[in-house]
Amino acid sequence: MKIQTILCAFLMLQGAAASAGPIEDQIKFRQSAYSFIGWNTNKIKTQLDNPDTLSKEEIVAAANAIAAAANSGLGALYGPGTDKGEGWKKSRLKSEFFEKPEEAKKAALQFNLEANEFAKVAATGDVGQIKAKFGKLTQSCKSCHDSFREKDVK
Amino acid sequence: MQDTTIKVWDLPLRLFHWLLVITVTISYLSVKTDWLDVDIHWYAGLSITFLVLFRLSWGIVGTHTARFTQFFPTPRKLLNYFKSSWQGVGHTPTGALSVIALLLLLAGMVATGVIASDDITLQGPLAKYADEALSDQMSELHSLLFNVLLGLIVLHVLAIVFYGLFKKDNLLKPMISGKKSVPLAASLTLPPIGKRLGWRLLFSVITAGALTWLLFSPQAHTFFYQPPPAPVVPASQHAW
Repeated sequence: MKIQTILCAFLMLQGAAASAGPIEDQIKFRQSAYSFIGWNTNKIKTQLDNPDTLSKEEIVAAANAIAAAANSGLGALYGPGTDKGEGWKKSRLKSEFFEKPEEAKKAALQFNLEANEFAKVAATGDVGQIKAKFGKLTQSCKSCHDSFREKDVK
Repeated sequence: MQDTTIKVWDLPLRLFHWLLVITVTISYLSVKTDWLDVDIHWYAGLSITFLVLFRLSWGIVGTHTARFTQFFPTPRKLLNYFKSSWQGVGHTPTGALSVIALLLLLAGMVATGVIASDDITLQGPLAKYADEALSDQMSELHSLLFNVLLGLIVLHVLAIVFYGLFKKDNLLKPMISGKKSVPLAASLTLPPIGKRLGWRLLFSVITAGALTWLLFSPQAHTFFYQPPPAPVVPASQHAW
């Protein structure tokens, strides 16, 4: 009887840990992925802001990194319930993300499209085109942030 | 009652007003639409900062109707205005309330905007010195304040339409030409414009310019803050 109770409690704890794990992990991977994307975005901005020292190789490397992150299937990290949890820190994902799945999908696909387009343009080395497409790429970040990302989490 | 045409708004004040209309519009379009690049928001913010600081300075050393002491809406003035016994030129007491509210809100937009960040490529000039939590709060407050500002702008425009239609008082024309026909008795309540107007204008422009520069220029920040040298590995040294 006693052993059964302990065993039962143990299994319940295991279950709780298992169900908390994936949500936490999804948010962690998500936050890491976007930090990585942010790091690469800043590298590109630094290059474009300093035309005298502009390195096209640096832009290509950063563009490919962003495209790779975008193509890695980030959608898998947006499981139900991941708007509430905590990863490295509290998630900023708004619950609207799950309430308007069509809109969310559109925003996500737009980012994927722009990330891949940007990688293509970066490879050509045409700075004017790179600037224009970089604007498109960051705009796709922004439109998703405006709809689905909390500006400030308490 | 005898009327007389006087210069009610001086040229710097009118320029301030219309440049503010333009820069606030550009600022709005740059973040809310795709028509203008987000980067423009930074320069729009800089321009608005300069304009607001200029107006604050011009409110102290400017001509009669521009001065805060002249139009500050005291309870007595407001009471007289509602009893229709207020007599004056320039901002009416309720108009003055709106002017002060708009200026305070714009100052609030500047104060929050310089620390705010969109976490993509747009960063207020002081954002890098603030910790993330503060910058987040300021970003949130910046967009909240904007909604209040938008409400006040709508009210401002509606009031002008209301005065034009129902009080037969065209407020738009004097803000363009500077001239307005007012009762002679009311025009006498104005203090003199004062001397050395050119110098006072120069003072306002330089003060506003210097403060804007202090806020927005990374070079200016180095006077107050020396960042610790970042241990960045130069590109030539990292092979992977």
